[in-house]
Amino acid sequence: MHWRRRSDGHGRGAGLSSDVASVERAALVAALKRVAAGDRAAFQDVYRRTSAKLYGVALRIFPDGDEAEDVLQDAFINVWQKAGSFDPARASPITWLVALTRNRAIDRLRSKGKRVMAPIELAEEVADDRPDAEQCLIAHQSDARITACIETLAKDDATLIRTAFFDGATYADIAERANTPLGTIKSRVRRALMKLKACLA
Amino acid sequence: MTDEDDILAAEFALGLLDEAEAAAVQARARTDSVLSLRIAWWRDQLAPLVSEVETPPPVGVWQRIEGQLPGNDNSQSMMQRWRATAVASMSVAAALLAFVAFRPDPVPVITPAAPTPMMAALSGEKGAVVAVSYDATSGKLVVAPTVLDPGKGDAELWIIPDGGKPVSLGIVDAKNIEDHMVPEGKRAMLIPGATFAVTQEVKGGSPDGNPKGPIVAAGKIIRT
Repeated sequence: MHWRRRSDGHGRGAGLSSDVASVERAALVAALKRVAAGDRAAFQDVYRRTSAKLYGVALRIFPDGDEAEDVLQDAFINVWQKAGSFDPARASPITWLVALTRNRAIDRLRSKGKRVMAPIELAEEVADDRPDAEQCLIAHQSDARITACIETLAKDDATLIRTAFFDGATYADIAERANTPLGTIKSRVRRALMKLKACLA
Repeated sequence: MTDEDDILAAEFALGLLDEAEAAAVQARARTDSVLSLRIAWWRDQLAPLVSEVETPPPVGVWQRIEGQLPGNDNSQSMMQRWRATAVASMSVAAALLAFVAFRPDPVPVITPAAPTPMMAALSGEKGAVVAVSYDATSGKLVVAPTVLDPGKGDAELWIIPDGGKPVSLGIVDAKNIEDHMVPEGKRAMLIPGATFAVTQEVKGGSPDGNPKGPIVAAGKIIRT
């Protein structure tokens, strides 16, 4: 009974932060809509709200600040041009913006004939790394539930999830970077996702 | 929703699948409303991860972007679509909410200080607009369709608790404003933050209590 969390007294922090998140999301949706109509003030508002996040995403792929700045610049020019194609029914605005920024970064890498290929070191999988109940409870009250829940995973599993999210890495990319069979990566990530779900829900 | 499908939704939301697999999921999500809702749920859950890497960019970047702004290529028709599907439907829904909330009763009733009613403005990609208001004291749900086309089937209303599965609230009339009494056992689910959705189902509604058809409109419950 997921929905009980809101009203049972444990979830106040999570409820509040998720309300703040939905207000933030609504503000971004509205701003993007105005950007689509050519509103520069709205565009600056989108920049103010999201540039630190998107610069962080660019820095993951280009740790060198100069290149990351260029990616951010490309990404925002793209936002200005393509805001009309953002569909709030399909994705949250931040998901859309992150994907757009990551794609600009990956295009840039490719144009230099490179790929995101930093090797991933995986230790042997621990037999039982079930998140414990107390950690999960803390996660529920945390402002960034996803971050707290990822912390309940084994360290390497957390790395795999972050690699997929930030680098846009597919199973095949991860398997190559971790020098591990595809099947092993898949079952490992799937188990991590199940644990994540149990913690988030 | 099977665990397997839920993992598939997560894999899709995270971008783990290869091109062909992702295309297959996307195609399925167009008609499988449960799957598309789970994808949306995972995206929402994952999005805050981005805060982990937050780093303010150097101040010069904004000036460079601003100096480079061309006109944007969001065409007139794009704008019209935006207006049609978003702005207009919102204001229509808002007007409807007011109407639903304040429509005159044939016999004036003096209600005691009522608890805050809840409302939701539902809209969909194809222009569907439905307003829903709910009175938690009486359990009365008023559903007002403005634009709603269930095709050859029936429109079915669902309540989706935040992070939970859709629960049917029954078939709704696609043309007329109707009152429904929410069964006692389902009332606790109608709280701000939960989502109403209308799906297009076969005549008589989904046979097994799970949405089968596409979502035609959805919206979150807000307190007025």
